[in-house]
Amino acid sequence: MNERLSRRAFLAGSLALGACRPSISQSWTGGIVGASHDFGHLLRQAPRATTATAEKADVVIVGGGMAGLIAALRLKQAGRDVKVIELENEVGGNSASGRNATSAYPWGAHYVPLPSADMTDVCALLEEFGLGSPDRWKEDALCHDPNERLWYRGRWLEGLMPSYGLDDAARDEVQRFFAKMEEFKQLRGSDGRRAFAIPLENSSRDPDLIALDQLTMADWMTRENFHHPDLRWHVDYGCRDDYGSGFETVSAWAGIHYYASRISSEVFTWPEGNGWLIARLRERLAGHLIPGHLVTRITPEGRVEAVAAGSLNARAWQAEAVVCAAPRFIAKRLIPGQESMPSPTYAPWMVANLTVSKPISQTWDNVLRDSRSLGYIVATHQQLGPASGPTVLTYYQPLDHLPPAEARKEALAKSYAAWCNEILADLSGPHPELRSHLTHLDVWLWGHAMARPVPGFLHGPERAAMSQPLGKIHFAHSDMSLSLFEEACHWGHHAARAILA
Amino acid sequence: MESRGMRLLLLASVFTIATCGLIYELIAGTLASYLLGDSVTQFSTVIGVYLFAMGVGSWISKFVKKDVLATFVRVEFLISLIGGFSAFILFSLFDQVASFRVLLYSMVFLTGSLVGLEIPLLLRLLKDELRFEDLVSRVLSLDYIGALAASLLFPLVLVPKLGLVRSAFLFGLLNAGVGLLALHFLRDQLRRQRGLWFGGLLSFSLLITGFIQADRLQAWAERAAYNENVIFAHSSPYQRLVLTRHRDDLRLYLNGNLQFSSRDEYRYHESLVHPVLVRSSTPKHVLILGGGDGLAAREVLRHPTVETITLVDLDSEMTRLFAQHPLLTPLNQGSLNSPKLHIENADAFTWLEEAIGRSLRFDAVIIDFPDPSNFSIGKLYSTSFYEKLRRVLRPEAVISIQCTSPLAARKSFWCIEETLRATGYGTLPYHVYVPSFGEWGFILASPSPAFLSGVTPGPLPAGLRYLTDETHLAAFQFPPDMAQLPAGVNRLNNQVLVRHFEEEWGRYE
Ligand SMILES: Cc1cc2nc3c(=O)[nH]c(=O)nc-3n(C[C@H](O)[C@H](O)[C@H](O)COP(=O)(O)OP(=O)(O)OC[C@H]3O[C@@H](n4cnc5c(N)ncnc54)[C@H](O)[C@@H]3O)c2cc1C
Repeated sequence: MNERLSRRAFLAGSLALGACRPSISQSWTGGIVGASHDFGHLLRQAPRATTATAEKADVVIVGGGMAGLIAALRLKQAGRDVKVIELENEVGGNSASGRNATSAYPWGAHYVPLPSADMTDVCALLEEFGLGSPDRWKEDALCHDPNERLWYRGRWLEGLMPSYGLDDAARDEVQRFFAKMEEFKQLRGSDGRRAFAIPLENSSRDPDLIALDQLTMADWMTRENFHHPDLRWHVDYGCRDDYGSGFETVSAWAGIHYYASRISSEVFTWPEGNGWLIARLRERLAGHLIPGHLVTRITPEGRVEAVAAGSLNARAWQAEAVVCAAPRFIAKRLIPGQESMPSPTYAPWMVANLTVSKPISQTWDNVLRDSRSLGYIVATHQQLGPASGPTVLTYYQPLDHLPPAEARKEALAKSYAAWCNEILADLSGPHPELRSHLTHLDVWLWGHAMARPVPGFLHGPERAAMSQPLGKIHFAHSDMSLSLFEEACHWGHHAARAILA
Repeated sequence: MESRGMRLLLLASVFTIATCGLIYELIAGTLASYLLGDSVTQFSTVIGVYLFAMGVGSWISKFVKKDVLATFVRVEFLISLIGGFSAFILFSLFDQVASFRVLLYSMVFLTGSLVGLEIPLLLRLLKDELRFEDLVSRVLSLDYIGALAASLLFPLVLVPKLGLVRSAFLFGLLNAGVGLLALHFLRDQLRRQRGLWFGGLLSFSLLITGFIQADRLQAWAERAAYNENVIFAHSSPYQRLVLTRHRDDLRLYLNGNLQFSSRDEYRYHESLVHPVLVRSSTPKHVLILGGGDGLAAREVLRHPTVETITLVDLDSEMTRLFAQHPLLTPLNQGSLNSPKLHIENADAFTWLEEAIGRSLRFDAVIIDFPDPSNFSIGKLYSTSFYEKLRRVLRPEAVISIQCTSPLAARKSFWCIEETLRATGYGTLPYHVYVPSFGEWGFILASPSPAFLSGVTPGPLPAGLRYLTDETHLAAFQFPPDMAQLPAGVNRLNNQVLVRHFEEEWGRYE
């Protein structure tokens, strides 16, 4: 600046500053996007039979999420003629993704933890997609370093467990906790199986371990004398991240599973998150996908009926076998007479994608300590070139501050502007300048994002009944266990194997 | 009334000094990252030292028994000078003092302690004016509001509009102003005032001069920082290029790091280029990654068998400068304008992926990237990068890589070597002495692991100033203090090299 700052200009400037009110005009574009609520709500009317003549198929798969597509791939590879019917215009379900001029970005699932070699189905699938093999995974897709950081008391710390400012007692407690989790990792039950395995089906049924499914994670921590607020925050964060519900809601078995089921802390990730895997599945299933169709009825005899989005034209299929890969709360409305079929309760989520004109983090996962959100991930993190241009941030918030039904209602009633204000206020701590770099912000609401592993769910009798086939109908959805890619992969394979047997 | 006025005045000072305090901290953090490299470490250590020093200052305040007001005024003037001149001092003494970090942290500590002293003193001045709970709530809330104001002003207004040096002066003026106002309004409570007035007015006028002359001072400071005449300075989207001259010595700095000195660059570039080319029987197609200064290309052009040189450099301003600037073209002998050479301005990693698609193949590759001082550059030394590189190499190709100093950064050097071997390359590490850099390391590598050990080097081109058959062979001997040691494999998902590099070069800053 070459001219001297004149006194008048300076005074005027400071007056303007004093009078500055939060501006009401917004300088970015965007809106609330997301799942086709209205189309889906057609199901609220009881399923009515149509008389449409049925097309023939070996297997019809209802729902093109991760589980449905994996089942379809395996069946197709075994020579079956498959049709995947998906209500949205794009397959993907909770692993959906979007793309703009800046980058692709996830709307839901965004990483896959590095599988151990004994997770054969997951390993085989990733291998088929060119990601290497258990003895040498391709590092391009592994989350690049630096991986995660925590915004805590006004600064960023490396890693997610604040190790800073802890006194000796607290440090001992944290060490004791992680030592205990390490023990659980190695532990085998009386039946010789791993205590906490992925898929969950492979876990031990030892009654002593299953007893952990009867109390909440928070109660278990209290019982085991884990009181330090930083540690309890960390565990609560983990549960909210994986299950969309805090440690006071989920069972101790589920909470420990988060820490004790995985060998490695490394993850695969892509700009579009797990949408990358969906894209690989979509390529391999070209010609077998029927998107934009709402399935309205499935019969145990193998008839599947649907209506097309827009035209509402009816269509029907007659199949040798059906894979119902829609979530349980929908499945029970599709099969006549099964309204009382057991189904879990679900946590709602809000996900936002923010396009910003400047890079604001070298780290992939940026977690905020004192926030209801989980923070954000950076879509361009895996880019190999220099990180100088614009980027997309995906911001996650499980809506668990209210019981699910109320949270869902509150979320649907909230305006776009209100969401923007909340999100930007939350991010203004670490990024006071964010507003001025923001060019686009979209909000997506997931009404039934994740099945909640509340006490008694995972090891209760109802869940055990869920995986039983019903006539020609086989079930495959991650809500029959835990809301994870690996579980979706398990259920997809499970259904395909049952049909091929 | 008078008491109310005094209260307002003192509370306004709380706000002002809170803002000033945070601004000095932000300035030191920014400057440290700017001068010492883009590392999270700079900001967190500066903030840490600063907060700690504030604690020390508050503790010291209890030793101020009498003359609280006079001490407060003195502290204001001191902060105004130290804080106000901080950016200027740090800029101009960078490179002049043996350990810049000692200076940086001393200044941060000093400012922090003084700022830490201010608030307790003010609290004591105000304690008779207000009830205790009012006092604490008002002072603390103003303190935090001041902090908010500072953290908004700094990135939005100060850095873009005023720059670091001028911003520091501006806030020094505010501090001095608070001191002078206190002096004026509370003169009844002070005995001997002459000294204070003198000190205050002197500080004020020094700061005013600094504020007005900030541009000139900044240029001067930058010159001092480089200890040479800056003849060209330019910020491209990727880096700050500074070219300096001292007598016949031309130097190029990128982001403050020396790239070459014209006095001894021939040692570096002859060593980077000829060992690889004499091991590749008739090199026709040569790839240079980095090296936008054209100096490596100059050496490559000494080999008559070479038909094409592809030079990939991120920064088009860099290659344009070295193709056109009349002081620089004699240095690279116009290599960038050679008809054999063509330039592609792209990021090397991205370019490589494209080159694989275009089925390009090279006989020799010369890699001259900056040292792996941050995560973006660290990727260019990873297994993933070398795997991609392999796909544009002919089976008998040889590559050479500049690999930082095996003496100053021994682990970093051997980490690159281990990474190449882990990716299936055969390696032949060597080193030379380049006075302006120190002991410098390179690695020859070939995609067929056995190839390098079997090949007999061809004759060196004529006219070299450093490499002879003897110096060439001697370069492959490593004395014990640079000998190989296990250092891990650098992968995208661990970036161990950047961590070694920070640790090892950190000792020299
Ligand atoms: C915000 C969020 C973040 C997540 N992050 C991760 C993560 O990082 N890592 C991870 O492993 N997991 C994550 N998950 C879990 C994720 O749910 C699973 O990874 C996986 O995508 C689940 O696949 P699915 O096939 O079981 O279920 P869904 O994705 O629910 O698939 C069901 C499909 O059925 C369709 N459908 C429903 N009803 C009908 C109908 N009547 N007719 C036709 N089609 C119908 C739906 O549109 C949908 O496509 C996340 C989930 C959410 C919501």
